[in-house]
Amino acid sequence: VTADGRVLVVDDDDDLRDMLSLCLETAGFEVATAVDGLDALRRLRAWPPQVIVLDLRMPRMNGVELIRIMKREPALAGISIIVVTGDAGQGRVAIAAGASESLLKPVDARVLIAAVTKFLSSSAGERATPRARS
Amino acid sequence: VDGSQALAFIAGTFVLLQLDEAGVVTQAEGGGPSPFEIDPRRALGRSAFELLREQPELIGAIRDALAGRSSTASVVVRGRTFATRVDPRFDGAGNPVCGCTLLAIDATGADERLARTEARLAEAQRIAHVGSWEWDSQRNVVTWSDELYRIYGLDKETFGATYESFFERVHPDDRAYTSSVIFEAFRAVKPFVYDHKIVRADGAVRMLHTRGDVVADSSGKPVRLVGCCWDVTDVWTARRELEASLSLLRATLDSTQDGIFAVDLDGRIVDMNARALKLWQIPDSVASTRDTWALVEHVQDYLENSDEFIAREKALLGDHESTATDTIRFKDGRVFERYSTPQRLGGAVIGRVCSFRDATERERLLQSALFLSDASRLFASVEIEPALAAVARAALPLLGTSCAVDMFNESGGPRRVASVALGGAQPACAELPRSVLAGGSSLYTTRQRWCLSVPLVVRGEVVGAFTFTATAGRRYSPADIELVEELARRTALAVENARLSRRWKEALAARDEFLAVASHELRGPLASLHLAVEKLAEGGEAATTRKLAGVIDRADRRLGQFVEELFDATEARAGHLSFELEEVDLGEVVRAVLVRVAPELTRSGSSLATTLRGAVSGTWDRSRLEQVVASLLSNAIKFGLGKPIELRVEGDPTSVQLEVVDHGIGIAPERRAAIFQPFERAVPARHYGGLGLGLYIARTIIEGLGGALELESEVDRGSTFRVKLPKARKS
Repeated sequence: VTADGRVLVVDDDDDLRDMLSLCLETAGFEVATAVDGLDALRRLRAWPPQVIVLDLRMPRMNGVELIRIMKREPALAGISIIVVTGDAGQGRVAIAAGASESLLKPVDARVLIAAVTKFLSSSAGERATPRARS
Repeated sequence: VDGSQALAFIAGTFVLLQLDEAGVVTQAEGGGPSPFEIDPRRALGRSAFELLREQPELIGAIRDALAGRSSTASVVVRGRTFATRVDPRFDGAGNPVCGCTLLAIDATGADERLARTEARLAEAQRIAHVGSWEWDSQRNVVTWSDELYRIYGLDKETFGATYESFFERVHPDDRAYTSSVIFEAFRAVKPFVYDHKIVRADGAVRMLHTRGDVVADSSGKPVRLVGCCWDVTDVWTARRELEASLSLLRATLDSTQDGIFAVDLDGRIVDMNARALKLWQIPDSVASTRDTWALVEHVQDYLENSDEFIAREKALLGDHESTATDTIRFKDGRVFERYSTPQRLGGAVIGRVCSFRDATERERLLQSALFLSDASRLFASVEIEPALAAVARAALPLLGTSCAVDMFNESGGPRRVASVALGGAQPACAELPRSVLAGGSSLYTTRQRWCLSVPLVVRGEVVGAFTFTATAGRRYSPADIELVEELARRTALAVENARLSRRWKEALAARDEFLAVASHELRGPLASLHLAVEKLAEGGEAATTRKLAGVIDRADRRLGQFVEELFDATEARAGHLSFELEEVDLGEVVRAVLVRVAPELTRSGSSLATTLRGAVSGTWDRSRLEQVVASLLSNAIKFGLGKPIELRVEGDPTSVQLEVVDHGIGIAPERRAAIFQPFERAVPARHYGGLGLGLYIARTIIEGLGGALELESEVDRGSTFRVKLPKARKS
């Protein structure tokens, strides 16, 4: 597991959050969790991930609100966001707000891992250049 | 003197002597050869007895006359026949005879001449259809000419030749008149002219024109009537027909609802009817001038467009050919429709006849119908408030100079939705009369103008009002009020439709929202379930397997709970929620629920303080009450922002009260009713878990147990849900 394999799972449903984490950890990613948008924002600064797996309907701060805040902050704007939602309409709203991909619940572990892998490699490529220079 | 004597007299062979009481000639006249060889110029002063000594008949007649008796005689002297007449003379002072008059006329050959003349006369009468008659009233002998017999269709044998037999032939209708004419002629001794009907022998009725005269004797006493008459039936019939058509024309003019003027080519009014004067309110002083332009001058001040009217009048008078139709509008709202056509006599145009009728009512009905149909169209095509503003504009000037529409909001306060006033007019006054608020139309005055307010009533509730202000001097008629009330009915219908449509849209939006929420809520546990089952299939350590079984179990219970909730909501909506009643201790119920919500409570960070006072047992449904308490607590936890929550249960002898108080986000007043509706949630944009049916089901349960669920709330300060429950259901 490289430092580039960091994934933050954000969901207010305890069991789903656990299951998403379990799947990603089993696949070899470094996973952290948050219970809603506000919680996620706090963790992002201390533990910046490459990919966020994000639920949309959450108390206090929902997924779309989090995406909008992240897209306004240059330090966070580059993080890939995979939305996992039960509402396809909200998924489209999230994509419009800047999410990279929208997956509909229930999601296959295989599909989720493939998506995370895709965005990890793309963000790794982006980062490869500055690191090679340093 | 009979006819033949008259002819001789006219021919000039006569002698006339006047004698005194002694028989001495005091005056003598004569012509032609002297009948008795008496030279009238030498007879003066001589005795008639001596002059006529060879004529003993005449001597006797003179003696008779001097004794007061008239006599006539025919005397033959040397082959010539003389008609003689001797009459006594009176001095007029009532004295006896003062002398006598002797007239002798040579009548030789007179009969033959007379017959010839009479034949000529008869021929003339036959050609001219003129008959002549004579009535000797003293002998009651009527003499008719031949033509008169033909006129009466009689022959001489049938006609009785008396006044009575004449009178019999007079038509019964004219007998009294005939008598009076003849009586008057006798009385006044004067000529007369009159018409009377007769019934001919064949039954035909004819009209005769008679000219007659009275002949009096020397003492002035009428003794005969003479005259002539001719058949005027054709003239009389024609005149009767003319009179009948004139009377029909007059009656038609007077009975029609239309006003009528007949004008000649110079603009002189030839005829008009009373209706015309009344409709246009033309005084007699103007009408009596019979001048079109005097009339025009009188009405022009009252017309909406007098210049146009005058121009049209001129054009009509100059137009000898076409029929014309036009509309004349008065300032006071009266509308007349006029139809005019040239008047022809023998092919030539001699003037123009105009008829006009009051079309005000029809015009008003038309305008009203157009206005109502406009209003309906507006209500059907645009939102209610823009439609009301457009209707208010369309109502003017038909219904006055200003129109305002007020709508009452839910708390009863009026809000002016539309206010329109014609140029310079004051807007309708803002204060509505009490009776309008009570649902009745009201007619009142403000600033010397009549106002009309009519309420908008939707399902028995006054939701607004129309207020109109009249044009100066106008008072609203019952027809106006009816029109506005009809407008109000249509508007109320449109308002109700708009409300229903808004509620329908809201209900649809709420349902869509519910479906989205339900989809998300169902997909959450389903997603956990899916991943756990996938993981389980991979196999693994026992610890992992146990954890997965826990996830599956919770997902299963959550899905089962959703299904239960949906079922309850459906049953509640259908009124089929079932209860299993038993003795239940509400304290126990609360404790059981607290155990269930403990994990959720812990995660939220809120503390919970529970107080229990008094006896809190009653006859209720245990599991339903658990549902209610769980729902209220779960609600407080979700929206409590992690702040302390209080749960208070208090009992009195007949009822218990349970309060759940949070200090969270609170609920805005306009949303308070909605949260108890199925498929509604106060804060739809964020996720607080659940289908949002909990409060609806809770209230239905409490009401089903005979209690009430109340809410007090303040935004950002929190909410209090209060359950009041009787210990036993009232039967």
